[in-house]
Amino acid sequence: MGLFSKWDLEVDVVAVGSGLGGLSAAIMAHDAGKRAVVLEKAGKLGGVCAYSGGEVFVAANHLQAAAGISDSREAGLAYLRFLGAGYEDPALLENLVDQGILAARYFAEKAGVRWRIVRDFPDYYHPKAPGTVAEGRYLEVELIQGSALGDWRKKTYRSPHVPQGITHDELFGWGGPTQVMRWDFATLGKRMTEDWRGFGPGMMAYFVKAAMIDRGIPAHLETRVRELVVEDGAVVGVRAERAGKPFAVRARKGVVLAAGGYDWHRELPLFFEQLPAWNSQVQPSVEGDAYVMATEHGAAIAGVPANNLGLIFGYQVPGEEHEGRPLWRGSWEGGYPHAIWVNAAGRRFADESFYRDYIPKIREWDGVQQRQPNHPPYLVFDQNFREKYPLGTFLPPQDLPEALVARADTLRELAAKLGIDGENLEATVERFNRFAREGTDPDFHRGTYPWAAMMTGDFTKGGNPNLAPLDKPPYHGLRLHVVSVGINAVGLRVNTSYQVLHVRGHAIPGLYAAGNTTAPLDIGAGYQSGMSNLRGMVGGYLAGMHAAARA
Amino acid sequence: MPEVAYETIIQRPREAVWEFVKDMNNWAPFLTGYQRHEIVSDTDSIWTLKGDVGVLSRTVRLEAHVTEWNGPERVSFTLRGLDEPVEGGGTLVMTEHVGVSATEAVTPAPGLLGRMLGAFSRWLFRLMHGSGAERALRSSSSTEAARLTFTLRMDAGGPMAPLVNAMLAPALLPAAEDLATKIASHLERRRPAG
Repeated sequence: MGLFSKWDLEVDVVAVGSGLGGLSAAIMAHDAGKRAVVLEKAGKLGGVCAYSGGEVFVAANHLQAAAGISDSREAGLAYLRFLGAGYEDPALLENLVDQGILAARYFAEKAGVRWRIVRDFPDYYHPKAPGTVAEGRYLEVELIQGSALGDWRKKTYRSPHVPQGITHDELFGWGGPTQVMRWDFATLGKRMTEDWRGFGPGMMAYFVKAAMIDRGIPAHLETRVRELVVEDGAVVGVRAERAGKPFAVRARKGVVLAAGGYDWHRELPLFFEQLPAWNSQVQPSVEGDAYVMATEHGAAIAGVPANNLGLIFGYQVPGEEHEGRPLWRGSWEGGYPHAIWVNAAGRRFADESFYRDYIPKIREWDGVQQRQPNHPPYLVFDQNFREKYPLGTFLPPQDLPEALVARADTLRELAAKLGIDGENLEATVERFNRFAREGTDPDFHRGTYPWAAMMTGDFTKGGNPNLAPLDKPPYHGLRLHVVSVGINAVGLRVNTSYQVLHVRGHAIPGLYAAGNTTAPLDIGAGYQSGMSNLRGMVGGYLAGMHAAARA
Repeated sequence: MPEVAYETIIQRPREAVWEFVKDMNNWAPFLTGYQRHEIVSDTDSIWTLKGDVGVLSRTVRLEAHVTEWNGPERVSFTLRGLDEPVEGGGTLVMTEHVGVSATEAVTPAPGLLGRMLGAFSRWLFRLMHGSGAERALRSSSSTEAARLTFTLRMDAGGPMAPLVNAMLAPALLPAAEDLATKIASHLERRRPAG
């Protein structure tokens, strides 16, 4: 008998968190004949993954051959090494790629996850980086109806950040984000009424079905794990809170920390992410709990350069809330035609269509002025934009809220309203307009990445899909903020079995981590959408198997 | 444009129904998500409500304009979203009724708005009689009753209309029932003895 014996529940594997990491671990433990339980702090299942686009980036995946797509493990590694830029751990990277192929196939064959390949959707850096492909590496799920979730239907997250009930192919078939005016809203309304789910919510619906419905794995909501229970250096359980009362769960084989990052922790984002302010699109339950409870037992943390992961620009629409807090909407509009992003000096600073370019530059440091000159950014657009494109869910000709968007007849007046340099803004727009009319952007090469063009371009206008002048008053603008999507630069160190490493270098017996809880040493200094979902899936897949096999 | 109608018999003189309904200050705070309302004139008011739309919560402002104020027989009104492309309107018709009947839907339109109006009618019934009144009504011999017919039409505008209507739909019924519950319990506490 151990030192701590007042258990409320005894299982083999405890999954802390119900995103891909937690549910994959629980499924694998169950399939190995072990008893698993999922403890979720929030009131619903699905975690940050359910808020995502639901892309899982798997090079050389099992669906490519049937789709006639040529790819290889080596090509995938070459691309990911390009992204890692030397900051990746080679063993972790190879493990991620190889096990990703196996995990995707396993969950398809054993857990009923109906993956499909997003067609004609290129790697971020295609065709400029080695090993990239024009399509085939993004897996998403076929649509699934909420009714498949039984009693978990209303207790599984849907997302305020992605369209409900459509596939990527439909999204791009309708013209992509710039062409919202042409989307098939009759179909969207029907799918909403019938509760069809795709993207992240659809992906997590499959995993909730596989874990909770098909396997009967229990999950406890609103159950916050506070501490690990450690005996003789090994993790043997957790102490949680449920309905305000202590809830202790013994884990005979292991505890898998898959509770996301630290977006809503009071201090960690400021310490780790090198920005003066931090905002997030993820659930407020993501508070860095796993870091606190693991590091107090000697777990090592590690990080990669904080200029690379899931960060976007965004804004709040007055009156919009989710999970009891103001909702941060992501902004991609700077890459749309007739729009630019500028800094407070009124100058462009990056390719507005490609967030891999502009996000690192938001952290650029001016060592003379001792500040980050590109933070905060501002979105500026003209009346052409207003007449053609949406700003978030505000479709033309719907008025934009005055509390959100400034408007003026001249650029200089707009600059005064926004508090930015008017003379520079005029010069910037004049230069940009010349580029736009010529169809090329010598300053930042906007519109030259096919992935970026699909996300922010208008292919109906002809020419460069991301370039058109700002030449029709009135002009509009708003200050933007940096908004995290829950993918952090620092996390718990793990080995290739996703055991958490002690600061002394050895694995902590009985302790595992997966997904955004882990340090992104497997991907290094770069990012590619679908990598975080891949990291969660692979981490849970391996951690669950390894824990189940422990003596 | 979706339109629904709901009819109910209330065992109170229609003047009594009118006395309560005519002053929106009586029941406004019990609306789900009620933030505030502003009486602009005898015919116009602006309502600020916060409610669930899809998976997020949103604050909306609706302008209500009374186009016909003919109590205790009839009230007609229009609704317009000040920040959202939503429009609608409705009528409240009260006639004298002889006999006893439980509440019933004349046109029990399927779908959300029908259910919403059902909840509205139940609320109105309880409003006038308290929660135990429906059972008492069935054994009542009173002939002093009012027939209340409520019609409502609402429609989102713009290209997103089908999606907006689909997002609004699941939110309205719980809101209507919440309203009914709150007001009924409120009146039960304040119900005069006897």
